[in-house]
Amino acid sequence: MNGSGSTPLSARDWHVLMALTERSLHGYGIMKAVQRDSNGRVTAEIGSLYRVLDRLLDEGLVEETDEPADAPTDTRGRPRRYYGLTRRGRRAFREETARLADALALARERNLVPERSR
Amino acid sequence: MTWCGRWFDVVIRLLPSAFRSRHGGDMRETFSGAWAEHRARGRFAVAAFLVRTTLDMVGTGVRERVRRRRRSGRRVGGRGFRGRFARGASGGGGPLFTWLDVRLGFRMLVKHPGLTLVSTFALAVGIPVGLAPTHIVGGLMAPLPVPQGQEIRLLRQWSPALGKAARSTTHDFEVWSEALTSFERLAAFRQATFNVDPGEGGGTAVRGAEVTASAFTTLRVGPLLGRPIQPSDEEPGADPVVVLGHDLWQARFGGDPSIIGRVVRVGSTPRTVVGVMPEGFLFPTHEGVWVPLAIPTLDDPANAPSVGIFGRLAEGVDAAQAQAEFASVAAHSALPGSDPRMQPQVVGFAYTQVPGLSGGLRGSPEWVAFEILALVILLVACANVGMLVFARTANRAGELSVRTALGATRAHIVSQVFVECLVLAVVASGAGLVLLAAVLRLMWSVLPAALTSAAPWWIDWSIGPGTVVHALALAGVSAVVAGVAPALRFTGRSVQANIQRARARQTGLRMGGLSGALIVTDVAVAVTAVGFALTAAAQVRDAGAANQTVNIPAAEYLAATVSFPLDAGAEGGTATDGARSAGRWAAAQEELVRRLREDPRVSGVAVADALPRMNHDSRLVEAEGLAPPADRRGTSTRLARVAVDFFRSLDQSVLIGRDFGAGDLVGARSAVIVNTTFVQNVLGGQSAVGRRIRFVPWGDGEPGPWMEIVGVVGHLGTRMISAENDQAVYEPFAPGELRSVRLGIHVGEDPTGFATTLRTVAGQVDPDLMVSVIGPLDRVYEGDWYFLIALTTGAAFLVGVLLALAASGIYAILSFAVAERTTEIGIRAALGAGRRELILSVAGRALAQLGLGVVLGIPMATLFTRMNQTSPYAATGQALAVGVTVMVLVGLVACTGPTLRALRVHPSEALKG
Repeated sequence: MNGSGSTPLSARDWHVLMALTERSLHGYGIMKAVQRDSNGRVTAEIGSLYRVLDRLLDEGLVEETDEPADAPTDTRGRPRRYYGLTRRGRRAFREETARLADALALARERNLVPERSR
Repeated sequence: MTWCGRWFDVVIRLLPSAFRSRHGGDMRETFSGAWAEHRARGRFAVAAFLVRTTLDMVGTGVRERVRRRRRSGRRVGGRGFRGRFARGASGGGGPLFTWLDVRLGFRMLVKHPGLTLVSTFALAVGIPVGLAPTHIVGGLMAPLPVPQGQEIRLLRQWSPALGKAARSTTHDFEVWSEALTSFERLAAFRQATFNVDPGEGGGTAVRGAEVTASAFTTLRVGPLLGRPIQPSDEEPGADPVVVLGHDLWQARFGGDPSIIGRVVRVGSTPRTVVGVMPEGFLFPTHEGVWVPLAIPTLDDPANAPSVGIFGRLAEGVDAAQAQAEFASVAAHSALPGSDPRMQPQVVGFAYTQVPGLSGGLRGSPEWVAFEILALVILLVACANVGMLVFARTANRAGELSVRTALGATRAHIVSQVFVECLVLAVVASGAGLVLLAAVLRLMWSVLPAALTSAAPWWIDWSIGPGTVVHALALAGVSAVVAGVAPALRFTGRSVQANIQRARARQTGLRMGGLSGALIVTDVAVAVTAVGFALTAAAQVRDAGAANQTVNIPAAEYLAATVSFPLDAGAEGGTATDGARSAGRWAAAQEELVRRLREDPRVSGVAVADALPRMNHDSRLVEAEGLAPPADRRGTSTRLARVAVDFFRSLDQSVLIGRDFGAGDLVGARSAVIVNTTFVQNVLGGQSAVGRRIRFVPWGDGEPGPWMEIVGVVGHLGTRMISAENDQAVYEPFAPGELRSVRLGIHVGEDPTGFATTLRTVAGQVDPDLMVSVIGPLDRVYEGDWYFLIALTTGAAFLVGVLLALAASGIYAILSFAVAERTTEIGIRAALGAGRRELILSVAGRALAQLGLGVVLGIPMATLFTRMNQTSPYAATGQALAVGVTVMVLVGLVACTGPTLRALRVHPSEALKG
């Protein structure tokens, strides 16, 4: 959703929000999480990632946060920005995930889900 | 991170400034993390990452600008056909690149066949040039052609003090095998030449290797027949065994399927054949026979024999982990007194061929320079194609302006031109890959068999997926350089101005001084290069002509190498055994020469470490009483060590002074003979006999003892080319002093037919004598010959590239001029201008640039000639004339198409606008 709650999130947006559900992350952390969670199906090159972040920040789904206490010590003090979900972002993620789950359930019901995805 | 950080600072400029100021610092930090991760995965991963990031930045920059423009209320394009046409192929809210753009790109290729051909040709030669360094290094340093060959790693210790890899020993092998866990197991090898005698008399010198049994297990290559060497074969007192290579088995044993169990003599030892390896297995470099490597038990590990050590990475272990463990183990196991600066390295097996390069071929400065030069040539090619694209875009001014007026954004127009260029570049890269494969095959085929038959067995010139990906990446970069830049320049004008110009059939654009300078440079460099290539080709032809550089009938001589395993009969033996072995070698050498001379077909046997036409050793020489050259300690001179009767055997008389005699081998041995070129170049034509000279080291160090010149001989050829520079010193040696000698046997016609006799006689004299027949002396090509071939092939390729670039540049500028001046040409034609006048008005500028290029090219070539006055590669006047003619012809051909197009302009058509 683009913030208004009407448009489905793109796969990349969803994966970025997904990466931020558990903890705040910096750009490189988000990049790696998206790559890992999507098994490499969704790529988040640096330019594209920050374009998504820029938009999600504008839409109020993501916000800048303080450096988490458990951040790696070797990067402490470096000019890294951390991003976390806003309440609105969390709601948007939940709604989109529910929408995807419904869609998946419907597809399952009609036996349209490939075997390996079950 | 320094250069890549700077690179990122450049590409990030593709993004809008507001976006950069908001996210730039953080993006750089993210890039830094991703860069470190990719760097750990190797060079290829880094290259792919950089290409992906660049393309992503291009796309993000365009999309972000569109998004910001929309957000600020300036929505562009509409829905339906109108909007679709206006945006080129892309939907307004959709991606900038679609299949329709690609299809349009193909249509443009077909619609402008001349431009397509010229651009494709320019890129099809430019892209392989850009690819060549990486592909050649990849081919030369390829993994071993064994299962999971990339896991095979060489262990070596780089010595900064020596500037090369230090020797590894059997002691290192034992210690490292015990301690290292990053490898499945380690194996050791030592290369040698063995005299293999199938039992018919007359052995064959075969390159082989002593290997540990673990070598075969590590390589995971099973035998074709029998079994490989096993650990039991390494036990003291075990029966001597041998494993034969496929070629040796076929050539010397007739492919006998019942060979297993047969006893053959290898050196002086009868060994049982236990296995035959499959065809193509030539481990470690190009070997054809393998025997067990004995690991001696020594009191002093410092005296342990040298071996090569390699292993297969254990499962789940990568090269970096193995490197870390090896560094630690090698540091802890270093012998007392060894150099503490030694750098342990876990490297690819191909590093056995580059012991003097710490970072392998890729790390050498020459190679980096080659890579940069190749990329510069590619960029020049792209710039030329860019001019063509600019000219074509200018021709489409009307169409693009209308699109802009209908709402297409600048980004859409740029992306459309980019995709068109990308289609062209991808087609060109395909053609370029075919060209690259063909050129490499050609180069490999013209190299003498003596070189290719000894080349490392892992060399692989095939075009693999990595090369294809690299070519596509270069195609992407080419499309950016050749497409985006011209399109940005073209679209950087107001819509209204473009529409007005289009109506007037004018573009109003100027190609700019840079493009003119580019064409002039193209032409000038091409003129120089043509002259250079022709001169090099002439040198190859001259050098190839038999007997041209030597004063003996080389075609009547059979050249062969004879050597003796100095440990023959002394395996595990003492120094006394070694001395006995050396004595046997001296006696055998004398006896062999004596018996050969008794043969009625033989009229002389010359013995030396290098025969005429062969590549002689190079030394610095200082002459007493004469100042050395300003920049070094002596004059570079060729050296041959010769038997005392060498000149008599070659029927050469000593011109001044005396020949060597037996007395010159007694005592301090101070007599040397020089050639006439030495007298001229080193002694300045002064009297030579009685003068003293000495060898001085290239770097620091003590000079050798003084030697007295006792005679002067004529020119005999000390390397393939440049007779005027082959000043030579001849030093006498006694039989047995050199580990191997070259024999020049004067047998008259068909010297090759004498090879069998030579082998038989050698076998009779001493079964340990190893004979390696080189062939007729006039077909010996060593040293500079290879360099010349590489130079000529490279120069011919370069000339092709430069001519194509110059032609495409001229074509582009003329096409543009015709498009620009259609109305003017029409008016002129209507006013009765003649064809000659029209031709001059159209082609004048290009012809002027052509002329200027030629005028600049001649002094460049002349300067080159002056700088290389002593070099055989200097351009000659004749070659230069040909270069100028070729360039002018190419330029005129490039002018023809656009000029004819201008002449076809009908006045009424031109004036319609």
